[in-house]
Amino acid sequence: MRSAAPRLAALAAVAGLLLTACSQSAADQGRGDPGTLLVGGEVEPQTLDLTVTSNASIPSMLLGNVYETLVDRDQKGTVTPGLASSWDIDRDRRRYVFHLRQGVRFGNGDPFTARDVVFSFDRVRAAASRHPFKQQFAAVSDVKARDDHTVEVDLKRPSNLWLLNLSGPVGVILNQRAVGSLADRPVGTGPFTFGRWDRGNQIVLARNDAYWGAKTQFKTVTFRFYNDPNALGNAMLAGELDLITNVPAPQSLPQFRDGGRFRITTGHTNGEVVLGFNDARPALRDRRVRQAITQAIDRAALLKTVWAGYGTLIGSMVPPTDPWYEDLSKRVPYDPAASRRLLDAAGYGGGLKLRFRVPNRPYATQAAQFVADQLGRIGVRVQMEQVEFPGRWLDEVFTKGDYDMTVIMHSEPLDIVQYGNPSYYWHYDNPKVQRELAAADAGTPAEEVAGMREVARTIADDAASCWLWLMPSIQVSARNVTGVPPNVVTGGYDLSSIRKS
Amino acid sequence: MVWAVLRRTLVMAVTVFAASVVVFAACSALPGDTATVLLGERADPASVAALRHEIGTDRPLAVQYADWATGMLGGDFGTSVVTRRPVWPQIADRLQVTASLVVTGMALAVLLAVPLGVLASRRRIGPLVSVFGQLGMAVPVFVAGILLSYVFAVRLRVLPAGGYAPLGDPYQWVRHMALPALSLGLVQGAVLVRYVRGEVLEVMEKEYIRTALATGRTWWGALWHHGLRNAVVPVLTVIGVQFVVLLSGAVIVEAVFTLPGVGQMLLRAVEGRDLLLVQGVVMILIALVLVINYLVDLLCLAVDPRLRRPA
Repeated sequence: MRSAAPRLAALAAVAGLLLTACSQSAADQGRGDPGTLLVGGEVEPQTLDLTVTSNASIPSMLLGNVYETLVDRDQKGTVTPGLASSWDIDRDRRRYVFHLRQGVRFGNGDPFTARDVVFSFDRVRAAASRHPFKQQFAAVSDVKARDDHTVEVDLKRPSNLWLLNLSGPVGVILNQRAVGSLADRPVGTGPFTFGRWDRGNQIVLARNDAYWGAKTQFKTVTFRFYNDPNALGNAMLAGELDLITNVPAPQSLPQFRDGGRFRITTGHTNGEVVLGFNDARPALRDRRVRQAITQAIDRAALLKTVWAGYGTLIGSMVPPTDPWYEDLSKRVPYDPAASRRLLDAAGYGGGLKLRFRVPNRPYATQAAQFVADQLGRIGVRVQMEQVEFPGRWLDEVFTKGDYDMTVIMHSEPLDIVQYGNPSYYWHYDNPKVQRELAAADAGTPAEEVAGMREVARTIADDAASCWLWLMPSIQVSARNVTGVPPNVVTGGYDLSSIRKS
Repeated sequence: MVWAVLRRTLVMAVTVFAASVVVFAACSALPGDTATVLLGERADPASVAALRHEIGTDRPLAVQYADWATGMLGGDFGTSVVTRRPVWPQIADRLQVTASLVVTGMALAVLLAVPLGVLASRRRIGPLVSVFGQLGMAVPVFVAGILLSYVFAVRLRVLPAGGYAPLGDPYQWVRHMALPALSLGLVQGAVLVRYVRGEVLEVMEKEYIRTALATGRTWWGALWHHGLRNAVVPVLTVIGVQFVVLLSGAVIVEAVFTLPGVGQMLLRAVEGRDLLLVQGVVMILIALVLVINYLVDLLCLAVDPRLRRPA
């Protein structure tokens, strides 16, 4: 017994040495290889079937990489050709004829034809379809193949948004033979094919050598999943990643600034952080109250405090990557004195009490605390409560409308249309907005831009919501990685411009 | 002996049944159901209702429970609505990781705690070991994990910062398991040290040890031949209890080192309201805890014949 302890110690020491012997470990494998790209920052989805759930992390990895759409949107938000090389719109804007690219094949070798488009679109709009974005196809009355490479779509009413939405998850072209395995083996026409999914760990995409467009330099791209922001940062610092596509909080950025090992890229997303009002409450149906709340909040200070100044002040539901963007951030400015006057005029000068139910996400709870503090200064008493997200928030706040105010990021592209939907959880019902939205949707491209600009101004003036800030896209890449796309436009993370030396 | 074993088996069966009722009730009471969360913000109510009907969550709760419980009796935990895969193989996949973590963590803890605990009962180095014990108790598992990861993965870059390699590749398995197991083992070891020390001190005061020492045994000899067997029973019980603590610690360590274990799966399943998966995981964990306690009971019966008499 007496001699056992030293012997054990020696054994442990040897084992430790063996373990750590090769410091160029397997963890580093791939980091130096220009043929592979190791990506962190995406959230692991529970299924890869983007036709059954609105989970944004699925299109983030697959849209534009494995799946393609008839039309695409570039980094500036402009519509560009995708699987359709061109399209014609007839004079009353109700018939679209898409001319499809020829010689395109799916990852499983099947040729891509007009039949696949009809199949995919009909699958969304079928009576029994439970597609989460079925509404985006509400305007469509008929889809048919004129020949192998021409598709005709008839609309019940003209709709510009329908075409824009085609660049999102609702527009992906599926392979008929592969729809049985959408949940774990997606097949598309994109520059990558689906490789494998090590659940809880990573998803690997492989280069599609038969791709019709420019081929990628990467033989494989691996998306690794981290549930803990600290673990994600450590993996980057330890050299196990080439790129973080989505830094969870800007407060973690300083660790990547030293030594010139990393590059930080910032850009825009579609994620408007919205302070939402429940207009089913009489007090909040009053425009003066909503405006008073909006004017009581110093959004510039909020952004600095809560998100370290990263992000953009917007003032309406439009990100800079939408064609009708203009800076409306000063339209309803911070002005506590005006705010108190408005509250008095509305009859709530004696005090107003609001239930503030906030999802338990860091950005939301931190912003809510700041908001609650500022509202206290104009005499609005805020009763704040954290609500588990998504489950409880979706059930109680979103579906049942049991709240007065909430904060949530709306990350879906083109979600300004929700201000025209009185049954949405804000219960915002303004006929003027509804008319303007319908007119913009039916107009020519020029009328569309002018019309949507009108909508954005109307909801800003009406303080339909208070737009706290636009969530930035923050990425960290290793020095030898270039060309990361700064903005999130369609919801897909497009790998095609990335290079690694 | 037979009666003692039978009684413990019966208690276990009743506990499993009661647990299944509680687990099912708790999951059903969660606000927000699978259909709402899966379809998300843009779904129309008709789709949500249709999905509810398809997965059967619109049936009476008693029917749903009976369906689930009878399935489990036949070893069928159902099929997840979210992943469209049967629940059991998903759990089995992840259980491999968590079991690796918990078992190696506990092994490290015991390897650390038993010799240190014995040493600590000697006057000279006792205080030194106590410092380790106090430190280990004070440091939460996730802090230990973050520190180890920072030193060995970020600074020294000798071990991976996270991830998992299956047992099929033993070298990589050990490398990926080293830091997580060490985080758990250090903290658990520190807890165990105190028990081992206490037990050794108590046992070494007993008359039979005094007798042994009087017949010329050295302190170490008396401990080895007469003391340890008696000291080990309470320590075994504590290890059984600590296994449960270790399971919950594993959830945290899995997050720190991004191990695809049961704990991480459970968190995600709760978030996505994948209720059959949640229920399955919780039932398996409960069963595991019960089985471990059962085995510890049997082990104690084997080590200490006095426990076999009816109480």
